[in-house]
Amino acid sequence: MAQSAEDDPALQRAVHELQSGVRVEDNSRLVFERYYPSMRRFFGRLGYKPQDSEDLAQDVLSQVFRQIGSFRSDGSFQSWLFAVASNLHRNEQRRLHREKRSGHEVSIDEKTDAGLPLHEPVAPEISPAQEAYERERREALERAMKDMPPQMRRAITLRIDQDLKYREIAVVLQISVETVKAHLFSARQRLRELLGQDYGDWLD
Amino acid sequence: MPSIDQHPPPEILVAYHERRLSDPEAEDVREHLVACRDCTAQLLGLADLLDGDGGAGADEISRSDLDAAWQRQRERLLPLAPVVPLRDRKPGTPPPPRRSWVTAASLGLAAALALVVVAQWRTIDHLKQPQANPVLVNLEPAGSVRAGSPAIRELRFPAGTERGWVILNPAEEPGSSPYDIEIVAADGEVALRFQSLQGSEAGNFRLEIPRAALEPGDYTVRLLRAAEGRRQVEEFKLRVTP
Repeated sequence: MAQSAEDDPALQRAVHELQSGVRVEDNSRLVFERYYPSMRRFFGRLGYKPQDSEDLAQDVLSQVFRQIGSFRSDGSFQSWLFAVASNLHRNEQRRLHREKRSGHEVSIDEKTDAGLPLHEPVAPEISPAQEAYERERREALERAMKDMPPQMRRAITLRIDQDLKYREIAVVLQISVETVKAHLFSARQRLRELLGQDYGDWLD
Repeated sequence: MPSIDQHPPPEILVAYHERRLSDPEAEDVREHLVACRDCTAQLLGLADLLDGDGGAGADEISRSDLDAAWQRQRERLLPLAPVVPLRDRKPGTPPPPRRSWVTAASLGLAAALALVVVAQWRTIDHLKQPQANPVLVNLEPAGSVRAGSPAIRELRFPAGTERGWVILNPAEEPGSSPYDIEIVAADGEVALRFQSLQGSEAGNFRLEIPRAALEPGDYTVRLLRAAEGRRQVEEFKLRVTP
């Protein structure tokens, strides 16, 4: 496991020196190399494309370097970095939302100069029958989950809806990986008993 | 405390991760996370950042990709210093390209934008006290100093400035491979080192020098080719005066 800035004297010194304007280039590089990969992953997790994740990671670190003087040295540097990244993400989402809303709308009947349809009709990914089946399954699952303990219900939801790994569910719910496994094992048994074999497989 | 429908602000997610919230507050956040993919992704990103384990399936970044990313970041951070091209390049060196007024206007705009970046960079920690303009020194290679120019250029930090700029103007146009630059004190100790630099479009190198990094004294600035076993290409003389 890598050290955090609080545990890493070299990183701590680099941040302190950056605040004093000392060895700006070397220290900026040290901080950049330590946090750029995490920042890139951060935006990747949020669904940005690799190139956009790289650009946003650079935006975060640019902002951090420019505003390093406003960082309170009694706080956690990573928490500050996270706050900058989170705010940048929210701003980016707002910008994308605005762009989407003000985007040029084109009629599906619109034709190109050659008389061809401008937009190919997109085949629905799920047929109505399949959609109805999925809805029914979902409703059955939710009914079955009602009687489960809250922690188990949350573990199932994170597993199915957000496709999280055991380790990630443990981080979100602040429980151990073993507890997550135990919850999902019991949930799988119950779902199989109540709803049939394939419902239990949902959690695999 | 935000309701389940509201995204918790970053500081609440940090407090949640660090288990600093009360039980009811933590329950609210937990309930929100289960329903909100975006906040869950942010929390997992935070855990990755704080715990530094890279998370499951963390992508590794190669050294060369990291170096390239740093170069891009560096270009964004370090402002363009005024360019002073040498009048007498060595024979065989192509003359600088002619620039139309459009290019000149673009350069002017770029310089103005660079000034804005500089201003932002300096604003926070410099507003507290009055600041003089940072010093800028142009260096020419030792042994090929123009007539009328001093043999050793002086870098004198005005009172109230914490950094200055040194522009190295090599006699030959820099190649495309990276360069290292070392500022060596009279006793042979390397006081400052810059790595993997590229020459600017004008064929020079711009170095930001923190006041605290160089004691008063004479220095040799060595330009090295990183890819050729750090072979010295040229050297420059610099005197830091109190």
